[in-house]
Amino acid sequence: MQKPMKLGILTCVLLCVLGLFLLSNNVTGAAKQTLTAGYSKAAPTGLDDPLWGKIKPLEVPFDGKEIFAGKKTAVTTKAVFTDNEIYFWFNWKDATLSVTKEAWKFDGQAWSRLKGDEDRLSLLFEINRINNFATKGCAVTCHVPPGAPNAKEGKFGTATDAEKGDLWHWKAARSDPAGYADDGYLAKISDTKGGRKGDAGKGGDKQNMTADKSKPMYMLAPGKKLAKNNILLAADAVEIADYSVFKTGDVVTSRMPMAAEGSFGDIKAVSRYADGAWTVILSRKLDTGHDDDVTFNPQKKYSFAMALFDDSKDQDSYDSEVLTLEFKK
Amino acid sequence: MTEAQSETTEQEPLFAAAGGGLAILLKVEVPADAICWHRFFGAMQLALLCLLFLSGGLMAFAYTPVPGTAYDSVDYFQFSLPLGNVVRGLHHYAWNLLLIVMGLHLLRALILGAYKAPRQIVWISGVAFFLVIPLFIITGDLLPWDQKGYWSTQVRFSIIASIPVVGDFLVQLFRGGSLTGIVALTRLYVLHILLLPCALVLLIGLHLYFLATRGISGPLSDDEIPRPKALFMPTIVNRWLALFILTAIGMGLVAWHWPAALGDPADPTDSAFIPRPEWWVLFLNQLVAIFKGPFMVLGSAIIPGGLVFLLGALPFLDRSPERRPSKRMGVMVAAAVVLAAVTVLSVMGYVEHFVRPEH
Amino acid sequence: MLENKVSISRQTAVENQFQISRRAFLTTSVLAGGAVVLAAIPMVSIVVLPSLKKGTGKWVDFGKADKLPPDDFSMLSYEFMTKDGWIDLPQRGFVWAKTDAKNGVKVFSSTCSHLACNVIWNRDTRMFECPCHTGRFDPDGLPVAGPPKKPLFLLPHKVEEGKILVHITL
Repeated sequence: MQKPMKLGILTCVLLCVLGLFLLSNNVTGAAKQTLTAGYSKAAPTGLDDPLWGKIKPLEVPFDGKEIFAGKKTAVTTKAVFTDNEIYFWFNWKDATLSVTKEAWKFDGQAWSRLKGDEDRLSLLFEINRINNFATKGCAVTCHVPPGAPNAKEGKFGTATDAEKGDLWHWKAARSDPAGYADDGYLAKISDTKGGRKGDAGKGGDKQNMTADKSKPMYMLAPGKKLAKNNILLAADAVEIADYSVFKTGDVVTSRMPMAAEGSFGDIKAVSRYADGAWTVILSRKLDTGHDDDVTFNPQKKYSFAMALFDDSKDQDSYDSEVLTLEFKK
Repeated sequence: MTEAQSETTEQEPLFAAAGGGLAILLKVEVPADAICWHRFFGAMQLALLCLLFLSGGLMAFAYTPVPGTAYDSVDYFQFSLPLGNVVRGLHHYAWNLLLIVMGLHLLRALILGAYKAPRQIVWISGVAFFLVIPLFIITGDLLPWDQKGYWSTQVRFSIIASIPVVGDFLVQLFRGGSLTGIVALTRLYVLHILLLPCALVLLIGLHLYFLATRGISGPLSDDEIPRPKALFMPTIVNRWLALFILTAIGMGLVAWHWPAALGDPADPTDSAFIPRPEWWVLFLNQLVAIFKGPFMVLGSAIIPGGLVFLLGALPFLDRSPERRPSKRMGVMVAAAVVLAAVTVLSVMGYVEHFVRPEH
Repeated sequence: MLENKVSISRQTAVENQFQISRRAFLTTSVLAGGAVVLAAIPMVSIVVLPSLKKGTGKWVDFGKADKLPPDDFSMLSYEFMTKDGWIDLPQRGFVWAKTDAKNGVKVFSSTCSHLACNVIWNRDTRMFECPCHTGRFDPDGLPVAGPPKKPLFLLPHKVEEGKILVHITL
């Protein structure tokens, strides 16, 4: 009586294995790139952590639009997750380090703005499912509602209240020197307002400008040092008492990065510009507990898309196709 | 004594009937040869069907048949509810395994001639499962409203539509219109969780009733030796319960480690998505692909339909009381040819869709 | 002892025959119990546990507190998105804010304490009027006429950075 029972159980196990083998091939044929986040018990210590060498990179192609139309670029992307955090690693070629963001320049007589923007990288995830985002990517969040002001937040948003995106915005001049990427979200676009919103909390940058908009208002406080790429942080600034200290050719930051607080400061950034390429790490808690952030569940897959701004305005960008993020222990 | 008597007389009629039923069940005896490894497939199928009913019932608690929202609800079930992942995985693996076990169950009955008199009706009711179970899969696949389910359904609809005369009507009936939208989803949902389960329960009842009245096939020997008996209750019941528990735990662990896939939400405008056929329809897909143009119906309806018909008619085509496989070479060879054809077509389909998927 | 004898004497011969396998029957009960428990675990986690979650409510910002007209009643309308299981749905409604120079601000729920219609402040009669069953409440939210027996529900509120926040429970 025992033998048939054992045989039965054996058959059952064999069937399960067979079934699993058949099912493991049951993947679907969508032409979508997948970024696989590897697991690490310890968090990567920085840009040079040997851990990054062990992670399989994904070469993500980007297509330029507007002033970059017809141009192509690529970003090498890696991801690692620990028990409670996720780290994205990006590397892309950029011939110029652009962190000017219309800084003030003194010509000996008067102050003027330097021409030049900054390098930026942005990521969009779904907090609540955005219709067809998983297949069409950021294209579905571009709207030009009738009569919309073509302003900073004018074109970008979701179509309904139920759809919500998580927007990560790394800015080489305005957020990176303070160690953050701006954490925002994407909500419904209306006739008058765009859908780009900042998460709850404080952060971003502080305008360095006098009331009459003719010259900077703040300078480096005594005893402090300029941050990375000679950017003046809001925390290190002091009001200018005597403008005579400035010499011809002096440059002062016009948008001073602030230390972020609350949900706005969920995304930490580390970066380096060297040898004609940017290397950036963005990290965040898997679950921030904030309802304006996507919650990463390592069992799940996520759709996301990226955009790269090379010293350019919002409409001039290189965009990636939509990608899949998956986690593998 | 008096107390006991009064108790008996006060028993409710319903209670008495239930007690009577239990007493009858306690007396049921089954030939002891029912307990052998190649007869375990039937019990396994019952265990799998129970798991499918339980997991399906639970999934229905967090499901809304609305395009888009359906995906959200399945996503919520799988990733936000505790054990949701296990239950959905269980449902997924259970139906895949069920198809395999059903095939083996059929093969055993075919090889050992279990379809012969007086068990023809048991065989026929068994073949009927092969018509009902695929309907479950066809209707269930669309429910998560993901890319794979949506586009597989579109492919299936176009195959059904190729059936002459009734094809288009059948598809319209499934969809409730010309779109695969909320009406179609609701129809398939009602079929999947209400009408088909009713049909299935009825079929299981019939199959088991015929099995009980016609008896299970005996050992392959000519001598009329009396077969030893085993008690249905508790011997068979205990074994089945143990099998159920083992299957549930085993498959639950599998589902926990390898979660059922949930692809991207369906995008009806994304016709670039090419669904890969599932393993069990690879041979059917290949059949459909072989016959092109006006002959498509040959592959999509006539050959598979004919095979199922032949399978059902087998007890009447092979009427000799001989049950030993070595003495029934005709049937054995025919079965081997069909099996080989299915295998070859499946491998062809596998190569076409999974090894060289560039088309 | 006596009862035992009685019960045995009631057994028919056939039933007696199966009495021997009482142990096996016990096994059946244990196995069946196991199967039931196994099925009940996901039932609890999927059906029962999520239903025990309480609505948390939300502090809704109604803008500057000093913009409310003094010594008057104003209707404060709100709309925000709430997660209902797997879907985000808008919640719409309004509350009544009573500004009183002496006693400060009070916020009344607009839900009638009778059958949950929305009450409307009538400036002329100086009463909250319920359109459904002609319930009337005085400016303090106490029922004065009609079927309502309980006063209007007072909602917790606070003023932060000059903004009035009202706690709306769902």
